[in-house]
Amino acid sequence: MTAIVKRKAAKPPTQAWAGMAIPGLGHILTGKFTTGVGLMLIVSILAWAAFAGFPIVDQVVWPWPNGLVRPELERARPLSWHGVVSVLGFFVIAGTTWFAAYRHARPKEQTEAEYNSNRAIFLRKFTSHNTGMLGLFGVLILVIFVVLAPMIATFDPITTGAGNVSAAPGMYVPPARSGVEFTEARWFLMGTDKYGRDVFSRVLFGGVISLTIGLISVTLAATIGTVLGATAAFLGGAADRAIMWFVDMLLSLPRLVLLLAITGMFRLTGTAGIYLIVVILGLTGWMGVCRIVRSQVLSLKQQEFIQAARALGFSSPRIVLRHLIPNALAPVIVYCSLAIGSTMLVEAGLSFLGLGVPQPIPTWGNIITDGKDSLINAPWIAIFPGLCIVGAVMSLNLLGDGLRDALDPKLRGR
Amino acid sequence: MANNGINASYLGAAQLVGLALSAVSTAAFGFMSTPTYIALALSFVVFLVLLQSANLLLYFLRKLVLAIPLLLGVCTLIFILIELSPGDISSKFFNPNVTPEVKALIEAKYGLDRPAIVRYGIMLKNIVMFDFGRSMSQERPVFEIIAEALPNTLLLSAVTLLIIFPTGILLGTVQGVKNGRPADTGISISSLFFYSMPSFWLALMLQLIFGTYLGLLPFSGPYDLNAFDQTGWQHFIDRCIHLILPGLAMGLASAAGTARYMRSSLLEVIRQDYIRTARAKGLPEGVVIRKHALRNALLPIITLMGLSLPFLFSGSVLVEQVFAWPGMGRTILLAIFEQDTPLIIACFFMFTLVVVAGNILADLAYALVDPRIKFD
Repeated sequence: MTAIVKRKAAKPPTQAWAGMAIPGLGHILTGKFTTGVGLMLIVSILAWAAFAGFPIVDQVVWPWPNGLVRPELERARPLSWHGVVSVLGFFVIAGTTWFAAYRHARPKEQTEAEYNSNRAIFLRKFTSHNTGMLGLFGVLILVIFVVLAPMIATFDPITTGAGNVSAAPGMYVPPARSGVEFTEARWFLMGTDKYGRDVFSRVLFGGVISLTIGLISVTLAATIGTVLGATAAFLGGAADRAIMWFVDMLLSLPRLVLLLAITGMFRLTGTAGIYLIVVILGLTGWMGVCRIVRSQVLSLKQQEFIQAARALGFSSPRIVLRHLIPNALAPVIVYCSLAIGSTMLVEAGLSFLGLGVPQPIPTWGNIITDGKDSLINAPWIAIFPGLCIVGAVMSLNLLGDGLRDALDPKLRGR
Repeated sequence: MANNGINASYLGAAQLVGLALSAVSTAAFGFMSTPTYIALALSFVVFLVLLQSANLLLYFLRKLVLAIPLLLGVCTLIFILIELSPGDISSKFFNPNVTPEVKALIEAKYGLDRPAIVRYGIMLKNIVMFDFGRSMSQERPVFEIIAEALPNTLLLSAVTLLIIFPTGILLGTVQGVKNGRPADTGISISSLFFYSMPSFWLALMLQLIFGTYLGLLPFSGPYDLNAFDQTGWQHFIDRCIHLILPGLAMGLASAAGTARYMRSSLLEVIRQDYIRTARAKGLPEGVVIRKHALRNALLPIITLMGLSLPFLFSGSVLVEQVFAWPGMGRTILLAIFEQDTPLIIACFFMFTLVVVAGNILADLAYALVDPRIKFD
């Protein structure tokens, strides 16, 4: 029996209280550099959104699902649901950041049992994993940009003619009698593309679509893979062989090529195209999860607690859903965090070939296609979305590595 | 047990030499020439001689037989997909001026008026005869199109393999040896950077940097525009130069992945008892790493070599598009855009064939070099 001993909270260093004023400052002063810089970055994005973004939320029309197909709506410019979400998201993210920074800077008391719980061990492992935390902050910053996209974007991502055609990054002052519609100086952070659209705004909204597609399709794939893998391992015999043969067949086709065939033959325009891509990416990405879950369940099936569950007369669905799958989930979570990145890469590839998300809707792959056509004259169109993909996928990979090191007991202490 | 005393490095060297020979001869003598065939056949003969064991040959044959239902399954899946999709090649000829009679004639020309099950039968017959029929969009035998495109992709893949594995193994070994030091961290971060990069974007950036800004390497294409005026050696050098950028664009990401694999594999091996023994008996560290650790750490990399083929072929679709490289990737993309059924089926058949062959080779090589693996 372990006695329940109250652990004494460590005395907070005096510098930590600087974090109360500016989240992150306290961490940097006490030596937690990665955490501090990450928090500072988040706060500065929020500050930017608050000062630059609030005035323009009602000006940017979210192009999907209503704005794109019905140009007559453009004149009305109502406050879109995405604008409302982004304002609410601003307050939620800001509050959470301040609260988390405050709690993290001030150590709290915990009992021995709490200290040795799986959750506490995982949190300690993960927060002391430097590159993992770097990845987490990268992903958080990505999510903040995505949620606050209408507040941060400076122009409409779809409407053409925000600036001159293929203007370089920087400030653009229209000369007199230039023929452009605007007269005031405009600031294009990443230049404009060949239709005069602001690349920065397009990259932001492209991030919304790319990240959403990655998240939803990986969730779909993980669900299908978990159910099929657990079924195959639990039933065994002919069902197992049939499912694994199908998995092997799908795995022996290069995924991108299979996707090309499907999206090339069933092409949809507008919003429907996005849903189609999500579903197809989900339906072709579940094989890895299926194999992982199957091998996990095969080894779990032999253990005593499953025999105990059988002896108690539990039904098969109950054993699978309540006992086998929850215990097999840790490697699936790690796999998924890595799969989101690779799915985003595949989606970008499809869009690059013109078989992904249909054209005027921005995704990172689509914008790179625009940039390919004018690579020499306007390289900024292709460079910036590519850098965003690299940053996002790198953060997700770092996060996945950190999660694996923290979750997998076999790798602990390596 | 298959402990027939073959050294791992011989096999890897034989494979690499065979691939390099075929790549070089393809570059030097053009597509589908006799020297290419001779080089490929030679590497296969070396491989078979190295096998030496009846067990292994049986294993090899059984794997080959098991691949047949897989290939048929893939072709059936693609056929069903094509059947389900709206429209076919004839729809591009339809407009209000075309009368129903002409429409029927066009459909009859491509055999689209027959029921699906008959067309499925024709497809199966074509696959078994290794003929694949006639392309609808290009109006010539599919076999001819594939015979032009496949060597280009194989050449690019071979060059990519030659970039991936030496680079990856070297970097991974440095990382494993310098575990935890700045060299390790630096290589880790830079390889993660390349690993997270879309290959087509890397291709565009390479074009921009080396083709436009520095002007060192050709922008795109498989050879120079005035290739017909070149002598043999000039042509060979020209083709090699044109291979650098596509090879790098396809290879760098996978090389980074290989380095990660190599690092963890080497770290796994270094913790073993026999390494401690080797160090304890006073061997210099270089010998311990080269003779004892590296050879064992290379085992999973051999499997990775075969398994990287699907990724190479996926990558080829994107990179060939950027570099205007007339290979399988561009062919399959064109076939899909034109809804050219025989060509799509043939492309998928070839893709699957190459992947399955890669898997079998990887299995076999692994079984051959690791005496712990049994097969029966």
